Amino acid sequence: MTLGPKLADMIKNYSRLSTSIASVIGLVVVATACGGDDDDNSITLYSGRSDSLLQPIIDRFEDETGIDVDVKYGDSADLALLIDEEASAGRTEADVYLSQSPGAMGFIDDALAPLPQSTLDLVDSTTRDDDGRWVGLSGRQRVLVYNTDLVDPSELPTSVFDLVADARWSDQIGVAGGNGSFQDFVTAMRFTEGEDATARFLGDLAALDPVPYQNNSAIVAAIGRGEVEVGLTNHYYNFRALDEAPNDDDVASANHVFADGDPGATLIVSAAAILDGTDDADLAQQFIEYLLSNDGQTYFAEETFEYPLVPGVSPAGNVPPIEFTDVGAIDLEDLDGGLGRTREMIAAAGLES
Amino acid sequence: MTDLATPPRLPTPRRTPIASPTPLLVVGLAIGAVFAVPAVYVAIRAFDVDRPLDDTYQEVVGPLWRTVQLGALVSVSAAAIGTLLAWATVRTDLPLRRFWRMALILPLVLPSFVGAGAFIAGLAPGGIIHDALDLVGITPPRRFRGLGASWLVLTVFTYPYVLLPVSARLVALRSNQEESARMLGFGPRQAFIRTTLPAIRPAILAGGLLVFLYTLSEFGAVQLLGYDTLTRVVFSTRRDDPSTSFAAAATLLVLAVAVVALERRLRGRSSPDGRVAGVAHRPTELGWRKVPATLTCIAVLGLGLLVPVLSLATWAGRGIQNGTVGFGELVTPALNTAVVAVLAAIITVAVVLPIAVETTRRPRVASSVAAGAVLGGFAIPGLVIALALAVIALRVTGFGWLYQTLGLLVIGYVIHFGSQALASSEQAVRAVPDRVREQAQLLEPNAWRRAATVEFPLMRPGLVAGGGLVMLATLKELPATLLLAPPGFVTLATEIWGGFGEGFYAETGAASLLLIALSTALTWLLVLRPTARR
Amino acid sequence: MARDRAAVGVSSVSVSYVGARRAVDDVSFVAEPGSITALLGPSGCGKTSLLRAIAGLERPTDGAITVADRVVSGPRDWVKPEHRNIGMVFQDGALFPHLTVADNIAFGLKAAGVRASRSDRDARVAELLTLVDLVGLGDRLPDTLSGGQQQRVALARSLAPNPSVLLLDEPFSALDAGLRIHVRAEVVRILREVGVTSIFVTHDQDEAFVLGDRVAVMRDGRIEQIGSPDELYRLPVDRWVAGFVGEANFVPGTSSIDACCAETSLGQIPLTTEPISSGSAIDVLVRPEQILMSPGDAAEVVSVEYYGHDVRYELLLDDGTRLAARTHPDRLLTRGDRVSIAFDGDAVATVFPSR
Repeated sequence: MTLGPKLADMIKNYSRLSTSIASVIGLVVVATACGGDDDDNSITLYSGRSDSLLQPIIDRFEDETGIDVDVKYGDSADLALLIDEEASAGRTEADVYLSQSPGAMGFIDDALAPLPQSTLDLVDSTTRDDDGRWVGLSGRQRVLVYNTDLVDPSELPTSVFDLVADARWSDQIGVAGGNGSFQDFVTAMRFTEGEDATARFLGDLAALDPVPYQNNSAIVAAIGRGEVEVGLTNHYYNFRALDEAPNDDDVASANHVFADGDPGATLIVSAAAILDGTDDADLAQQFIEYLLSNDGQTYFAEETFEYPLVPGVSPAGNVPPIEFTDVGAIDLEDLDGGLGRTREMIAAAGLES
Repeated sequence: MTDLATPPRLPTPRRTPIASPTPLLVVGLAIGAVFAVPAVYVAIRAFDVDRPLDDTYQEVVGPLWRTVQLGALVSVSAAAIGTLLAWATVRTDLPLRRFWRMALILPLVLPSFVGAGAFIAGLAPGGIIHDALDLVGITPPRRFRGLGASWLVLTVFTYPYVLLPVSARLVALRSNQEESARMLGFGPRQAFIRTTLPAIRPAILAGGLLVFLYTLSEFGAVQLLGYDTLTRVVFSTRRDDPSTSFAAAATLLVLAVAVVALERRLRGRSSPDGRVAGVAHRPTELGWRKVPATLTCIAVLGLGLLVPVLSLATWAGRGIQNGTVGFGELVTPALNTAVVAVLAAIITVAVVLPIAVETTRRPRVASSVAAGAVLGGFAIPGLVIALALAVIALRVTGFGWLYQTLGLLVIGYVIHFGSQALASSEQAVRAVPDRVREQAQLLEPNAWRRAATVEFPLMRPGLVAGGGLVMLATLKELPATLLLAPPGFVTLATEIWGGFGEGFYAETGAASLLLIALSTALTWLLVLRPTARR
Repeated sequence: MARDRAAVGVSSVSVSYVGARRAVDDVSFVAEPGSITALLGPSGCGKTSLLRAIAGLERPTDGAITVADRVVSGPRDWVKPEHRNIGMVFQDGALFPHLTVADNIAFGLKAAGVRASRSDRDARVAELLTLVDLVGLGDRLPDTLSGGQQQRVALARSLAPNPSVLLLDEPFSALDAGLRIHVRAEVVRILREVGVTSIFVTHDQDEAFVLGDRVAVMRDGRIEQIGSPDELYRLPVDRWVAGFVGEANFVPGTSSIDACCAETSLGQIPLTTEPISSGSAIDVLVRPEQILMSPGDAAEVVSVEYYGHDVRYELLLDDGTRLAARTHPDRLLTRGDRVSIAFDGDAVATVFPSR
């Protein structure tokens, strides 16, 4: 066929081609517009707690209530800074903020809306904000996880200060410097031991060449691999590892708790807050109350091995009992607001992850 | 006043002056400007310091040195391995060399962070590397971290970037030059070194440049392996210390530009890539060297593909057996990945097309500038582009509606991967010869109809190829996705990243295998099949 | 310049490739020292393979090749190409694009076994640039030169190490038609001045005849005939060669009683070849320019092709024979004209048995 008739044929197929192009463009426009939570029945959650710990209970909430939860996971402090940034740009993107601990809440005090009293009353007054801006969800204890093949329990010190004074642990301590719980542990130390002692502690720790990790799970996984011998993290990770492994013998890590009252055994809670300026305050409240309900608290107790904060729910059988309501030595309120300085000290010691 | 004595003259045809810009060129320049936005914004913010310069310097200098070190080491090793394998599979009598030529490209299908995670998972107790070494009696290394690990992992996944262009060039080079050197008195090895090696040097340099830029951009693998580079600084300081973050980002930009300029300079006086006439080279005989050569190929392919995939497969398999892993959980991330990849491909090709048209049909300075902006988008690390876009969307008035939307993520992809589509699009434009266009003009006066019915069908293969390359790149991308994905939007890449970070090898293994499968399908279509046809 | 003029002897050489029939089939010839020999033939006839065998780039399966009385290729001998002291110019010049013209030319002077100081090399390069008339272009890169200039550099490069034999593989086929003639003349001037024994391969009959002292016509791996251009043209050994080296008319006729002439439609034609039996049916080779036309009635002009320097006519005889004739354009005929034809009396013709 010569060129002319061939082209004429092609031109006749015009209408078919133009419809397909139009539909593609339509798809593009529609998809691009998606991204925000415009739906009536959804909330956006910024979570400083990791996907693996939280997603199951979120899924259950979605199934039961039909409310969609869009989650942005990240570091607690990172997300707090993000909320702050968004607020100063005049935007409220998230409805609920979940943090590893109360420390980051102080940053964004202005951005948080007071929680309804009914929600606050679900937990003891020691495990929530005095001004009612955040409520504790679950309790956790700082521990030292160690590799059972490489470390004899008798070598382990009773105080975290002794840990950093011993050159035996050089290059063998796993630390997640950017992690919320670690930061709150440092803040707690600042309040109980003072700024100088804390600075010295961080310096000594840094001098031992700790191996940095992104988060707590990574530390425990690394200890299981024998990559490092010990690590500073929260108590429940090891229980989860034990739960997931087919045999307990497969897990080469174990928890070591420092002496009562030692900063290394600090007790903290994970916290939730509702952002001021959200359009979905009632849905947000529904979500938080779900986490504080029997279902939610049982989940935290039995599936993530944390300490439930609502009276009437017991921790999992193999978790050592601690009365969170007896926590008096450290007023969690004091942790609030200390984060900025803590992060600076951590960075100054060179421990940022 | 006409002179009746002189015969009438035909009017001289007016030539269209080349100076007047067409609407398409204006569009092209505008698009080029958009591509330049992230780089310009980063440069501006980098000068906006609110911290003492010395502090910023302290934070950045260590990672900078480590980044450069890693980049240089990986480029050199990848270039060496890539060139050696290219020579072995094209110019020698290595057994099964046609198979090797295809197979050795395959490590490209693995995103480097997946590969790094696979190695870590493999060395963990219960992983196949760990168990295999145990079997042989070697104690598995406790730590797979730091410079050595990063160097190994990155080399083994990036050498195909050198292997591909060098083997293509070697195939195209016929015998005349080497034989001339032989006739002039040089033995076979000297003839190769003096004639063929300089001829493939541009290909080696281009591939090496790609590898260096890839290493600069690297985020996931070096994070998993605990090697602190500039990308880490950009990522972790972006909220509480933006000036350091932008300083690190600007440093990455400067490095990228410097390396591109260096490559240009080194390529400098080399010949253009013309075909050399002659017959195909007779294969160099290896003799006993066939054995170590084949073993090397096996080792490279093993490390680059077999070991990581097996490592992931064993973990995934275990997870499926235990019931802890269900493929149902992968549906949403997989769908999301596919949707965003297709979107990115379509928009990138559409956006890059005006520039491709201008540079092929009416080459001039302006269109080269626009093309340069597009190509620059590839040199800039994806993390830096994403950082700039995220901050612009949040802070710059008028762009707020883009914040945390899928659209912004797609824009990030378009800017970073536009260059992948540009070369294919230019070829697509060349697939519509001038005389065909002119014929069409005579038959159909309406330009839009003409474009739709004549030009697009002819361009389609090239455009589809370009789109495919963009899709492939998007599949494997991590840092920009982490930064720009809307809340709740999970892709296979981010899912895998989270999983590796937490040490959940079983679930991550399954997701990784799915990602690798998708990546392999695309790579086969776009890279292996065309290479095999040659 | 001092040169060992070497003869090239090819003796019963065969070259075959894996799985294919013989590319070169039992070929023998000798190239005298200082001569220019052309290997002429259609594509696929084996001329390039033979050239490459002489160079050492292909290994013959049979036969021997000697250069200057030294066996370079034989059943028990093999000298590598780089040690044969043979120069070769390739089809596209194959200049090294990353080196300047001067460096290209000097390339062979740096090979192992060549003892030349820097100044010696520079002097030699200058000498060659003068020889090929490219003085002043020493610092240029090859891609800035024209095709003809590149070919001259290639020639200079291969002559620099003073080879005893120079091989050229279709050296002009990559050039434009107009350029070809000019470059050809230059090259032959240089070859004669240098005096090196040269063998070149071509499919262009004009080229072979103009440049070659002797031409070997090859077909299907064998040499059909080797001789001077004149011998090939006037005394071709078979029909195929006759048709290959020029346009040929085969005029049917009968040999005369005394076998000295043939009776044909062109009248009586004196013959050159050995005695043939009288009275036998033969075809006489008559070249187009050997046909004289005058107004008459023996044939009709069927087509006219005007070339300027001559005119080619196609004539249709009454008995159906078609003949091609070429004459000076003095008296231009037109289609439909009737002419009578005769053989140009000064020439003699070759015959072949009738088919």
